[in-house]
Amino acid sequence: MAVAPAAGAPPDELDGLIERHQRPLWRYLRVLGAAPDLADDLLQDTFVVALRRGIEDRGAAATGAFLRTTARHLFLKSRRRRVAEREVHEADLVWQERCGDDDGDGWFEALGRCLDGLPPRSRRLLEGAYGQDLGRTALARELGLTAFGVKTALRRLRAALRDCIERRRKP
Amino acid sequence: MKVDAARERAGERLLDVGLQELLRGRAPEHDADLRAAVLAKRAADEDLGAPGARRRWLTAALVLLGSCVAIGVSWLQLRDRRAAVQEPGFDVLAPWGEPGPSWTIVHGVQSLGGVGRVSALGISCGDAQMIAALQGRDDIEALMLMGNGSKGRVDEETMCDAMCMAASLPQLRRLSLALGPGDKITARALRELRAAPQLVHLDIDAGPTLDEGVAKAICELPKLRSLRLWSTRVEVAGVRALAGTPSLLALALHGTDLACTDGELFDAVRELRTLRVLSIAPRGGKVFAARHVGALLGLPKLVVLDLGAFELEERTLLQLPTRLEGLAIRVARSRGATSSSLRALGRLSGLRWLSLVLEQDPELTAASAAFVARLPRLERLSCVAGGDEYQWSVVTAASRVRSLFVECSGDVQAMVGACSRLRELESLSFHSPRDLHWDELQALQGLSLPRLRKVVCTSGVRLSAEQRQRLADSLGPAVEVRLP
Repeated sequence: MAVAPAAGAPPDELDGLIERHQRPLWRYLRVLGAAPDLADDLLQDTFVVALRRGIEDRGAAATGAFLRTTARHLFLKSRRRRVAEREVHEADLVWQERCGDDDGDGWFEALGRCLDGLPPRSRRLLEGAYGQDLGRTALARELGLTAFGVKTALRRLRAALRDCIERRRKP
Repeated sequence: MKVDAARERAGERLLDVGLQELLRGRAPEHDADLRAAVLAKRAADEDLGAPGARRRWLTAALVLLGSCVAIGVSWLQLRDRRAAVQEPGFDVLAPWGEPGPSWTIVHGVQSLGGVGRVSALGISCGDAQMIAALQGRDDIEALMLMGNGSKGRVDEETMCDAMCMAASLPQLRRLSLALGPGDKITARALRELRAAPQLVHLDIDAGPTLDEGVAKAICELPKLRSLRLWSTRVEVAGVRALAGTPSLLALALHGTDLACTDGELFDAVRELRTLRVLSIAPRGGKVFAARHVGALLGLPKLVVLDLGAFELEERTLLQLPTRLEGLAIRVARSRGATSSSLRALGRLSGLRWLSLVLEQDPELTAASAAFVARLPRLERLSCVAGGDEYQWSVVTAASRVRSLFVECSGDVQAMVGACSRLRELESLSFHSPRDLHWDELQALQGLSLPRLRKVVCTSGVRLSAEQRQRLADSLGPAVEVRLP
């Protein structure tokens, strides 16, 4: 990805940079532990830093690595170092292992397929919990469960999804 | 071990992000907004100026925008003043539901049976059996959830379980979270409280950072009226986000660690336009400059204000609105208090509640007594002093007060002597820094006030059962005596 803007001029390459890296970078920030609003802000700041510095054309992987490093530093700075650096370091390693090859596209595709294979009731439970942000109480009422039942079901579903993704990602 | 846990948490976050992206479409799409925002930020960074005519247009547009904002703000202030009505069932002099509940603390589900029906219950939120046993109980109006102490931190899932249980209690009005530093109260856990139908008071001790996420979760509590945070880190975005709470009337931030400048904090507080009661006391006895009081005066409905953490300047005190019904101040020269500034407070004729912390200064004490004597509507007085002799002149000046709290270092006889002049007094509460003995407390037998209904000692006492009975008998059956 060629990004070497002239100082003060809107870079034509910015569109390409954003298109290629916006989504994986946001995912990465969330995995590090940034809340959605903070991830939005840091995303902007990361691209601002990238523009200010200018990035030589070293390919998408190198640009992605640069952006992730910048985002990681900005995240640590935003938390005033209250988030242990080790925690962020480990999160970075997890990202590299599971999403490093393709910016997470393969992992997310596997998750999508696993979701497609779920029975309707399980799918509804996940949609309520993660898609609509319904609390356990509301979900329990809708599905005829107790709040504890919802918790247990979600825990089992997450474990099943983790196994499913792992199976699908095995070479 | 810690590494494994960190990796596991990161894996869980990855799964969260994936589920949210696929089920909610949470990940950002490529859009022109981000491009525009990035370019704007960069331009701001480089401080690019607009040349020539463009700059003039920009200036004109800013002036026009400023005028529109000023008109809008004036209109809003006017509307707020007109709309400043009493909320039904909310007493500004008891915003936290005072007197607080008498908690019944239960350890272990086996002990629960022996307690029977109970209105105010305290439990450990790590006790899963207890949490399960309390689901749906219709007798609990106040619940205190405590940390696990030495047994370890409370994780997010456990906290969610406890919150779900709290939300299932149909009569719950007050929830107090008394946790440890590592316990996980997250926005997700707090969101479970949305289902609590009657919850109006929320107290959080040693809770999470009040950031935007946590504040937004609090905003979703439909009936919340009072929020108290102790020993909590506060971010300016969090305070600002509290403005979304539909009916927040009282806010206290005590012992808080501020992650922002004072100016940012008060700019944010100024946006909480529904507030009627406000108390801010940061950690470490931090003192706010008097100029920040001005930001609070922009709150149109504010009627009770704690200025205990502020410098007192006469010029500032003269600006306090006469609609104030409650005020707390620290009368100390180190805070800028002078006889003159205290006299300025005499114009607040609507005060019904006053809290004074006095230092050992005869001149300021006399000025305080003079201003208290000029308050015709004063009902409740709290007076704490470095030495007993400094407060009795203030107490006796509040001749029409009905409720009194004083700190008594041991000279109960002097306290009784001062209170004897308060013919309207209905409730006397006192605290001593040390345990009190019969030799001292027997002076209470001399209290003879026609309207007195309650005497409360909040410090330790060393009395036999017989001495307690003698005390109660001497005050008569109409007076409730509460001793620890």
